[in-house]
Amino acid sequence: MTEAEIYDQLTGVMRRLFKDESLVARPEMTARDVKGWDSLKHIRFVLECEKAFKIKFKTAEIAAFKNVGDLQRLIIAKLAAKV
Amino acid sequence: MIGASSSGALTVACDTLDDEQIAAASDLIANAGGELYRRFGLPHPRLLEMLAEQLRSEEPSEIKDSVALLDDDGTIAAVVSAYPASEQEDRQVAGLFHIVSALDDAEPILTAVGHPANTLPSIPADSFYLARIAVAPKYIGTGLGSQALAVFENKGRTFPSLSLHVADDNRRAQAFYRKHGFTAGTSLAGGYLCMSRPTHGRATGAVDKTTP
Repeated sequence: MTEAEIYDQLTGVMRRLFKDESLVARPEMTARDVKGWDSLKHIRFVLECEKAFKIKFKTAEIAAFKNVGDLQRLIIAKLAAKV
Repeated sequence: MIGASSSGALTVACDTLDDEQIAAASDLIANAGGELYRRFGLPHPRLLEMLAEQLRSEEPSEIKDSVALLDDDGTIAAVVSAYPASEQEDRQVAGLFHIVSALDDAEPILTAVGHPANTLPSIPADSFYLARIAVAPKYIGTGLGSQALAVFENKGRTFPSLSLHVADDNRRAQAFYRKHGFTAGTSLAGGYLCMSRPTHGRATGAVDKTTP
C-alpha cells in the first residue's frame, strides 16, 4: 500500500467518523484541526483505523502519535511487518 | 495486621506483586471504581483480568505505577494509583483503549465514558493527581487510609500541589481529605469535586520500598 493510498483511506475514515466530507488527511493534521476530535473520538478513530487497515495498535502507540503523519508512518510499519 | 498504632505499612510497586496479590489489588481497584466500571457493563472477571494486565503493564494507564500497601502476611490492604496531572489525558485514553480494543463491541463502554455523569472538574495542570485510593473493607477505620494518602503525598512531593476528585455526596471522604489539608474547588461536574492542596514537607507514615 502506498503512502497516498494510506492517506486516502485515512481521509475516508475521518469523513465517516467526524461526518465532514471536506476533511482531507494531511501529515501535519492534529486533533485540534478537526472539530469534535476529543479523547473518545480519538479512540474511535484508532479503532476504525485498525479495522480499515487490518492491524492492531499497542496501547502506548495511540498516545504516542502526535499528528496524522505519525499515524501514517506507524501504519506503514505495521503493514510492512505483516508481509 | 496493620492498625492505627502501626509504625507503617509495607508498600510495594504493584508490578512486582504475585498473581494472587495482583488479583486482590485488581478487585480493590474495581470496587473503588464503582459506578463508572458498572456502566462499562463488563463481566466482573473480565474487568479484573484487564485491570490486572494494566497493573503489570509498562504501557500507560491510570493505574500504571500503582503502589500496594501490604499487611504483615502479604495481604493487599490498600492500593494507591497516582501520577502527574499532565499525564492524565494520555493515561486515560491509553487505559480505555486497552480495554475497548480487546472487546468485539467497544461502543457501550465508549458511550458510558462519554456520559455527562462521567465528566470531572479539571485539576491543576502542574499538580500530582490521586487517581485511585482503595482500602480493603477490613482496614477501614484503622488508620490505613492516612498511610495510603502518605504514599501519595510522598510520590508527589516534588510537585507544587496535590489534587484528587471526590464524590460530592461522599462527606466522609471529603472530611478525611480536609483533615489532611485539602480544600474543595467550587466547580462541580459529574457529581464530583476537585480537592487540592499545596505540597509541603515530606509526608511520612509508610515504609516505601518502591524506589531504590
